[in-house]
Amino acid sequence: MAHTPHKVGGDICSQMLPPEVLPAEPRPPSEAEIDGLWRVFVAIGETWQNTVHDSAGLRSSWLDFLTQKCVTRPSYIGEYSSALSVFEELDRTHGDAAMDTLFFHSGVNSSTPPTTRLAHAKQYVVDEFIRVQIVIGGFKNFIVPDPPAERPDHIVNHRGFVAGSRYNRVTPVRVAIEQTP
Amino acid sequence: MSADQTRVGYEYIIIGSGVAGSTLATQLLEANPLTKILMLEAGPVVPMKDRRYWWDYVVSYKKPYTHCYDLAGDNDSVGRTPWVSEGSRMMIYGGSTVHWGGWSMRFKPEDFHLFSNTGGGGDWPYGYDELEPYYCRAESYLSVGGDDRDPWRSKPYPMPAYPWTISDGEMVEAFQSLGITPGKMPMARARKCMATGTCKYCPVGARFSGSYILDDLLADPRFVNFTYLGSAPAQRLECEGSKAKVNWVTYLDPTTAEEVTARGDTVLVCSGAYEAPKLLQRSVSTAWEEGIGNDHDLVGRYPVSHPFLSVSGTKPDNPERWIQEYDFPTLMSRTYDTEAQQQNGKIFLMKDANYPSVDIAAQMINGRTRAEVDRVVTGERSMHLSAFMEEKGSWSDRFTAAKGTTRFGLPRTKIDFSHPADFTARAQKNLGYMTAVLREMGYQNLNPQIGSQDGHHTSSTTRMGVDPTEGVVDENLRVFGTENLYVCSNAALPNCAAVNPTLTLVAVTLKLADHLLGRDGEVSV
Ligand SMILES: Cc1cc2nc3c(=O)[nH]c(=O)nc-3n(C[C@H](O)[C@H](O)[C@H](O)COP(=O)(O)OP(=O)(O)OC[C@H]3O[C@@H](n4cnc5c(N)ncnc54)[C@H](O)[C@@H]3O)c2cc1C
Ligand code: SF4
Repeated sequence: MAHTPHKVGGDICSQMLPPEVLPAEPRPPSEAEIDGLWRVFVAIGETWQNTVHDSAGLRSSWLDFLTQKCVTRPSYIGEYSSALSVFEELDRTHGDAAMDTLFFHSGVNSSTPPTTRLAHAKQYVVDEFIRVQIVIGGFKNFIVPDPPAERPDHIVNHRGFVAGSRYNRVTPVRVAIEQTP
Repeated sequence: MSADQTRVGYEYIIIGSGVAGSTLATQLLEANPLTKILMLEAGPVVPMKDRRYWWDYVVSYKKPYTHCYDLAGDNDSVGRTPWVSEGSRMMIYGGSTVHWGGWSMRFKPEDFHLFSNTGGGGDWPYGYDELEPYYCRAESYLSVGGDDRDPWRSKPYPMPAYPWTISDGEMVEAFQSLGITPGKMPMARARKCMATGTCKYCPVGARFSGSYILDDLLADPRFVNFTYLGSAPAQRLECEGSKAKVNWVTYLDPTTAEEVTARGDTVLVCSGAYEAPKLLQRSVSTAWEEGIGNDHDLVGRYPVSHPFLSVSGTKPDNPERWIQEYDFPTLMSRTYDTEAQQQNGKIFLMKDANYPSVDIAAQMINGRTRAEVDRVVTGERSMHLSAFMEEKGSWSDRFTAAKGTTRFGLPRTKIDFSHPADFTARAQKNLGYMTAVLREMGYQNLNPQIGSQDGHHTSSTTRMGVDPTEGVVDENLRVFGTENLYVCSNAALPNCAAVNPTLTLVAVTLKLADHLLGRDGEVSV
């Protein structure tokens, strides 16, 4: 008997797919696609409480990421529209718990090739959004949960974060107190 | 040669488009924009500063140029010490600086007298002072920042040093209490560096790469006689008339893969320390029965790189939530990189840039809650102190061509290399100094390791010498016995000291450019 990989969602989520990025011709994302995907990006910040006020300050970097992924090959347009159908199904089947289910209880092992539509949405969309969210600023709250008032922002750097020029007055990293050798 | 083959003649043929080849081309063209140059490069072009490639690198650590590395089957390592070539160099537009780290230390005065001081390795045909003005120029050219305390410098660095990051602090203190002088790592990073910390694929082109130099050359409307041919591997060199005149280069045409021969008044071999000796060895004729420049059986011999030493340790927690904030090390020391250490093998110390590190996103991806991620971030932290160790090189070690051809149209490489019998004991002695540092810092589970012999800094395979019984090239990098053939590469360095070689390579490249332009001794910064 065929093994049912996941109990999450419905027919859309459990539909089997080849593991590669779904083929699609490059094009920019539509407004509706952007809105549907942005909801997931915002939910990441809310769930892990690492975007101190909200995710809006990260939107332009996220949009750059999203656009690049759509307009160049291999285009993620196919993955993104597939993921939107997964999110809609999760809304129907899990209601308010849709995002929590996706983040914590999807049953998807992110280190094995994705073979269901749900696994595609988790790995190609959610997991990549998490990486982008951390890199473009979401890391800060994990590293400096209580920033000192005098340096609330550029106090810490992370691989991939555009922290500012080396000529900035404020050093873009936490520095060691220098001692005269 | 047929009339067809001689149709196109060049003043210079440059083989290889890495930092050596592209820098030579720049210097020659800036001096005379109409200079006729053919540059042959075996590898393909990979776009740099591409937003999509950058995001893919950020999100999945995927470098867009991994297909330009050696594959496991491209080389035969036949000596007692396995020599690892994968990831050690690149066949690509712009060469290996496409992926280099940009650490840019000078060799020290004693490195120029290694043989005299120890009876091993090679002496340079000249001393540090002769290269010093070129080091100053090389640092400007590469935009190197560092601190200016080193007594062997005549001028300050052109750029400021990067600060020690917070996680360097406890190692700085341990260094000081053990009498080790901490230093700032000299880094090649341009003013526009935005500290994105993804230096293996820089989004803004702030870390020097030979490919940016080529972009500038090809875009410059003054340089109408500069021709770049990619995917065009040089196969062999031939003489014209006399043994001393090496004017002909045969290469594979990039579209037909047929052999084509071009003529150059001067031929500059800038193909890196693996390929330069193989190209000379392959260029066999009645005049050069063992290959060009190989009458004394020195071509391909004395290879050195840097054995990588490291000591790791752990502490049970990370209350300050340290992560590595730059993608490169900021703390180093040259305390064990002195004349007194030459006999044992000097080491260059650096705090490993990858530690302490926490992959926060991976925790989230694997479904950890905020509280669980916080526990990981503040949990066990590890610290690594690493070092490059100097090697002296041996005549019995050798790079030659192996059977078969790589996908770049270059012969596979046979690497015969064995560490001397006392190597492990000497490395252990150095690891002892390093272990003391982590112990002083209060780390546990200390794990000293002698790493693999990687080819990253391969040098000396056509080394400089005062005469043809000692070296393959002379003080001007001209192959002994020829009038117009030069090897400009780490291959020409008589040793590789304990530090990365590229700053020194750029210094000797600028010196060669002055020589070719008839400006010997006229250095200006
Ligand atoms: C991971 C890594 C990190 C490094 N980091 C540092 C660092 O931080 N600091 C430092 O100083 N050094 C570093 N290095 C070393 C540095 O990359 C080299 O010293 C430098 O790039 C050598 O430059 P080159 O021009 O001599 O050779 P390359 O840059 O290797 O260029 C040679 C070019 O010649 C081409 N070629 C070869 N044979 C032929 C042929 N027959 N015909 C046509 N073309 C040919 C090749 O395809 C290649 O593109 C690092 C190396 C590695 C692997
Ligand atoms: S830190 Fe590295 S990747 Fe970032 S801008 Fe500077 S050189 Fe480029």
